[in-house]
Amino acid sequence: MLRSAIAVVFAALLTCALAAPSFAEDEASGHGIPGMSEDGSILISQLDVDTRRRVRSLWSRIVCACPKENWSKTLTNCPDGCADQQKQMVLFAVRAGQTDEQVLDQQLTNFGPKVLAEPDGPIPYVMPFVILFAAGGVVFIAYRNWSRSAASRPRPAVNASDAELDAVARELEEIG
Amino acid sequence: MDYIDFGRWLERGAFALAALTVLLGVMGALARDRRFVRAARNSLVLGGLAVTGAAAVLVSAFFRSDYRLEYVFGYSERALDPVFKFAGLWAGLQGSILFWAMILGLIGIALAWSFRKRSLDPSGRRLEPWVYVVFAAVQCFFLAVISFVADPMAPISPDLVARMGPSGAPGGVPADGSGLTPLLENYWMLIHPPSVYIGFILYTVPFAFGTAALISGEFSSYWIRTTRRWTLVAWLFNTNGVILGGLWAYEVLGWGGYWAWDPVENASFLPWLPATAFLHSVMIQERRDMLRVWNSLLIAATFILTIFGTYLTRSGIVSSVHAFASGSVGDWFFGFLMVLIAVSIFLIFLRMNRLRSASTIDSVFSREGVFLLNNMVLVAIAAAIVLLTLWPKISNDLLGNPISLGVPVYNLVCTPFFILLLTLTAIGPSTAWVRSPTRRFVRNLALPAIVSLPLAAGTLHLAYVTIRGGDQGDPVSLAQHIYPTGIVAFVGWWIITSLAYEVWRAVSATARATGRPFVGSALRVITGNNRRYGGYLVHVGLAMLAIGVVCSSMYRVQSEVNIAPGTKQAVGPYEIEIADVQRDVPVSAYRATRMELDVTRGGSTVASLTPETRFYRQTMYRSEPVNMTIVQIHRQLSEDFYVYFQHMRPDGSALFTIFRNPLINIVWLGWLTMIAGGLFAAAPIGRGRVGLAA
Repeated sequence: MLRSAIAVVFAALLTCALAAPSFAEDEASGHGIPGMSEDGSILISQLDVDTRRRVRSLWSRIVCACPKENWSKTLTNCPDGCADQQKQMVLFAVRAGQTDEQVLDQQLTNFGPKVLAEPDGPIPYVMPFVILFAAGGVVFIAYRNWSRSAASRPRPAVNASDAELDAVARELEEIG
Repeated sequence: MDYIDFGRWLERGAFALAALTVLLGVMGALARDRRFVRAARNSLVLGGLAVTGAAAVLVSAFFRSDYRLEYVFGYSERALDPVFKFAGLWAGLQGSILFWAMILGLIGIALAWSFRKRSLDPSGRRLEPWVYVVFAAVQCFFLAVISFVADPMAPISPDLVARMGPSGAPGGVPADGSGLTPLLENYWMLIHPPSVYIGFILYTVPFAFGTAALISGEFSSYWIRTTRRWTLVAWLFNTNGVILGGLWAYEVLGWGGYWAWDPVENASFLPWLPATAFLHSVMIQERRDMLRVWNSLLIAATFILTIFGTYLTRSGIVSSVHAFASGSVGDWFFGFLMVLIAVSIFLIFLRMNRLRSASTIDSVFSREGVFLLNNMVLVAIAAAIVLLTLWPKISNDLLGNPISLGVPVYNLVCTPFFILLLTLTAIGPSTAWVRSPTRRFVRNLALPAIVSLPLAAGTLHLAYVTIRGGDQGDPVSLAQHIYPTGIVAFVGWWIITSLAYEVWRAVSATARATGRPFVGSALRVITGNNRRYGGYLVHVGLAMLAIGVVCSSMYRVQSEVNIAPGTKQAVGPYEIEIADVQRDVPVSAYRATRMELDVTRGGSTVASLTPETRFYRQTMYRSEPVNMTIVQIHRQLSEDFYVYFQHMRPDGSALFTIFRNPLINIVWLGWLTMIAGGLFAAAPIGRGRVGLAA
């Protein structure tokens, strides 16, 4: 029964994996853009390379204020027309010579503190590494306790050398 | 009795049968009476059939366009394609919980059947009643949510009917539904959610076995073998679901990427991390009878994270376009989560002495040591993602500081962890159990590392210079070439080359020992230990995925292109021209503006793409108009040419955002390789050795 079940699982997963690309012709669906752009809007393609890069960097630091996105996307991955006005604000501000901080302050003034895609303070940046080091500490303490426990147990009369362990490992490889 | 009433009775009946299974299981375990255990098994099967019947009734309501049910009204319409009517079962909150309960019921039937064959095993016999108790208790929760809080068979609300008036709802029943969100009318809707759900739900089985072992004190190898197999199958579906979600986002959302660290994306990924850790550390338990406490924690953590992810999507505590919060469902899930955490911690502490092992890890430079470090990193990644996902909520509610967290923060924090994980993945298979001889360890890794350097450099050159064309679009700094791009590419290739070297050594040793030809020896070696070599293939897939992710992300070229009719625009080595425009074309449920774009390269046409925008008007049943854009992708192994139609401009030109994503298809190939490796590892071939601790 288990083998039959596993065979069914194989078939299902293979079907999913193989069917998906065959459906994936050059067509999909996405979000929408309404209407036409206003005259006077700036095209990012009209900017020089460094300014374009600066604008995209700013877009990645600003959260899309579209109500339906619910503060879940940055301007970078919010291609909807509803984000166009916010993106144009950034473009106009940059072209007017404002610094990054001034651009972000303008966004804060217009949309509130949630518009910034960065935490206020170091805790979210630091805490994961604190967790990693704490976990490392636990592993270190466990390993030290194991080592002490192993040292207190009687050892075999002969310690295997590296060459002997190497030979054993090769034999195990041959066995599989 | 109306068929809807019958469906409701089936829901309540399934809940009653799940509760009965719990009771019978407890009685069977405490009284050690096999009659109660068999009755619990039968009750589990009947409950599974009942909830499946309820789901069938709901699907039937979709196909009948029975808008007496608010759920059917909210996610269907008469013109909807039948396959999407079927997908309506999991499109919304209430239906998704019924779908969850249905899958749980079907898995329960499979579980009962597997025990029917294994009931002669003394260890399995002792575990069986408690497995039913835990499994059915989880079923009780979901069925209780359906019965008391989120019933998909609830009648349509009178307020909604009143708003439509007699013309919209003759006889008090709407004449049509509001339809499925057009964004979801996509073949991925049929594949991705079921895969994610099945993966999540399958984690219930190892959790049931793990908890049953803690309750009964039965810690034999039977438990660990069974748990590992179920976890592997769940892990395969989970992996599939996560990647398919990214692929769906890539084809649909129009921003040229596939992972935005959305809270619900994170929720689908979180259980994968401790599950992966468990699949590694269980090998230590099998071979050396160690880490039983740790493995118990991992199994519990995996299942708890599936409930946590479900809580995130249904509670409204995080902002996500995937979320569908409703009423008090979030409170129920929070309560269940707290119970799970409390019970798991209590049971593990209760059995701590029984779980402790006399064996030790003798050396960090051993397979056990590397697996332990690997586990540590996986758990740290999970903790980091949980923290970052919840931080906006914590900052807002506890610190009084409303914030958002975007992709750059996640990437900044998580990238070092992933690089560490990939490094351990490169090192691990070259280590030996107990202790790795230093010279051998260095030799097994040094040669592949040396070979990986030019391979990584070549990959970067291919992606950046040959495919991307160098400084097209935004420049990439030297620092970015090195970190993370170069480092990830190097470690990715290191994984592949060290595994290739490992396999070559094993096959060569077998060929020498047996005198067989190399190919024959390779077949013998690989098929003789499919668990190991299937795992190696998963690692290769992971390496491919990592290389594809870093190259496609760091070397992506984004261009905003304005094309006037009759003119050509250059985008890197390509030229695009509008061949045809059709505006405001009426289709069944929407009006479309369609383009036909000719994409040429070197004078030859490479693709003809048809991006379009669609406008779904507001109707009596559809409360808001919907605009959406069809993304067009020309796929090649080297790169994707990705076209997103922004809008028409007043002068008649059209504005497009075009992405060129180098080596992005290596990501999907890596995914397929991981799945193939997992299937091969799970296949019932080879010698099926469990290990020394059997």
